[in-house]
Amino acid sequence: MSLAFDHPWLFLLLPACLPPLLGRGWRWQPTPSTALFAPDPLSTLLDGALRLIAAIPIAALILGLAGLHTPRQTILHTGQGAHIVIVLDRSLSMDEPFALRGEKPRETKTQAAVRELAALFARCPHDMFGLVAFSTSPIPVMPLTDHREAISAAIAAMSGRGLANTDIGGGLALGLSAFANDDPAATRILLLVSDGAGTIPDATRAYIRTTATAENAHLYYLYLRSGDDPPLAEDIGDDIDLDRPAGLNAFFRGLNIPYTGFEARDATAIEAAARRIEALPTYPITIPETIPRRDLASECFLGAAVFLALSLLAQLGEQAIGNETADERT
Amino acid sequence: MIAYRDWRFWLRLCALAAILASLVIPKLNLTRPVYDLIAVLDITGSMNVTDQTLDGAPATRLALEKRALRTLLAELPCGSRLGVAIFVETEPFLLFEPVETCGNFAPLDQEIDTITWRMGWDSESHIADALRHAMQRASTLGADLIFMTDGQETPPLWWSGMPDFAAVRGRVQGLILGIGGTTLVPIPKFDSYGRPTGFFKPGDLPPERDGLFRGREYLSAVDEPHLKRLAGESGLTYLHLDTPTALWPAIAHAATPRPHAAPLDLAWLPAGFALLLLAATGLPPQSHLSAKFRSVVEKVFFFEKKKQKTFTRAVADPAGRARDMN
Repeated sequence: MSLAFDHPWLFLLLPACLPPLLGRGWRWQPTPSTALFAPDPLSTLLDGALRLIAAIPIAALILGLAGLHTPRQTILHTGQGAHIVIVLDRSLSMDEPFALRGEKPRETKTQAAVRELAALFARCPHDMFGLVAFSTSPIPVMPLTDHREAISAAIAAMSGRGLANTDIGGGLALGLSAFANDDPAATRILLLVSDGAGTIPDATRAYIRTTATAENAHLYYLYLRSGDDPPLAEDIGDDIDLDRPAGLNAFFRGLNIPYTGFEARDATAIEAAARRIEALPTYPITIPETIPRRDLASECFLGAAVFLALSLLAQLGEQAIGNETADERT
Repeated sequence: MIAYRDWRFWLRLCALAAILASLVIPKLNLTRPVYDLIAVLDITGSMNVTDQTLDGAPATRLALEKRALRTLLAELPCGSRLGVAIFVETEPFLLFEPVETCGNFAPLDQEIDTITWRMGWDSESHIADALRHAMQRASTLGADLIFMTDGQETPPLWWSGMPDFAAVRGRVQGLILGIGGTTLVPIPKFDSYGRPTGFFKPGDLPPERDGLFRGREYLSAVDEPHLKRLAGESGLTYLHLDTPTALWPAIAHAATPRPHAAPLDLAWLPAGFALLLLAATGLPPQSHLSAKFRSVVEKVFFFEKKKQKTFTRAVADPAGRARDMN
């Protein structure tokens, strides 16, 4: 914990502490020289303490006026938490209404996804988040960060109109690349939120397979299933290249990483996904945390007040030696 | 108990009172101007033209946009909020809503740095439409707008020209920043892996398909007349940006400041006064300054004032004493 000052030039005033420390006191007492007394440790101690108590308020005031503070700083501490990268589908189809079969649609798939993600984000206060969007091309929206305001603003910004096509593979690849520079001890979670599939080119499949295994990522697929969309558990035989959610599901299962698919037909799916994420074991990781600046001026002033009060009390105990009308040096 | 007879004791008591006052004095409720902004960056193909200069080296228009925005992020007073969108085609894609800039500096700065033309989802660039959409979005979010583009409509506008800005005019303040050189230069081409493959040639763009082509659309320069017209239609301020540092001073003129609480701490006033009093007790007793303090304190607390004064004057100034007696 480091300390800093706003106005260090005020230290030039520090010699103001010297008179009480080194001075001869305010008054001359009509007493013969004390030089003949045997040295008295208690008196010496008391003398030193009183001088110190008188000097401290001056020094403390100068420190406070100079703006003593602990600066805004990033400290590393060990904590538990996951690194979650959200990969969000922003293709045009996400602008279609999201509703159960026979139910009247109240919102688009995008709105539902943003609502669910905001809920998930709120449930995971200790985790770091990153956000990747994809349509025709993948778009990094927010790097993996512990700045919750920034993540919150990015999730909220996703509620706009959808863009164009669906490049799920590019989105997953970019999402995985977010783990390249994070703490390797962290539990890494890739959360894909999409309303369908889209084919992934072979080269991208190979990249996803190797990277996902190398980064030891957990993959969750939140499938926004609306109306008559095919189910995630659809029987598609061996055709994992099929452009259907079940095909993607099969491809993810074939990856050598922990994977779960969720069908979001209502709010319980995100609830289930959130519970799964919370239940994952997390390991101690090094978390950088930014601590805001803290001003210590009022602590300085309080200290000055306490010591000055002490000093004044001591002064009230002062007794004149001999004649009451002792000569004052002034 | 002789302390109270010393003027310096009273001085120190006053100092204690002043320190206690500094601990309880309320802060003054001042405000300072901050800004809520959405910056929209053109990331279409023509922004890859290398006709700008950054740090003495040639740079693309996109690099200048990004540098200008990162410089602004660092300059904005704390409490300001910045959102960033990218656009190709007609739609600005908001990356994040306006969010406080100082507390979130690191991820915001990093994010702006990662913006590339490869995030684009279309090769067209309908600037007037994108501007209108951006103004709508900014107005919904209660922010002002920074719209950075070279003004190159691809395909060109029809004779019918501009979309109608009536619905958004006046609801959003801000800047249209023209980015790019004024001489026509070729636009670079890339393959699907993002590798440069030379430049567009006259035959590369469809000769007459959607808009009013003039036959030199494979070249690009900042289209200032068009951007100035857009500024007139939309009620924003036009500025040609050629250095990243020019953005922040322009914002202060073109955007609407929002008062942000900036409480002023006044504790230093009584604390400084206390320090002055304590320092005065350490003055050499014979000094002129010390005597000044003494006389003030004795006037305020009037202990033994009359007697002492008369006595001192009688010794020091017999003539005065004689005057008093007369």
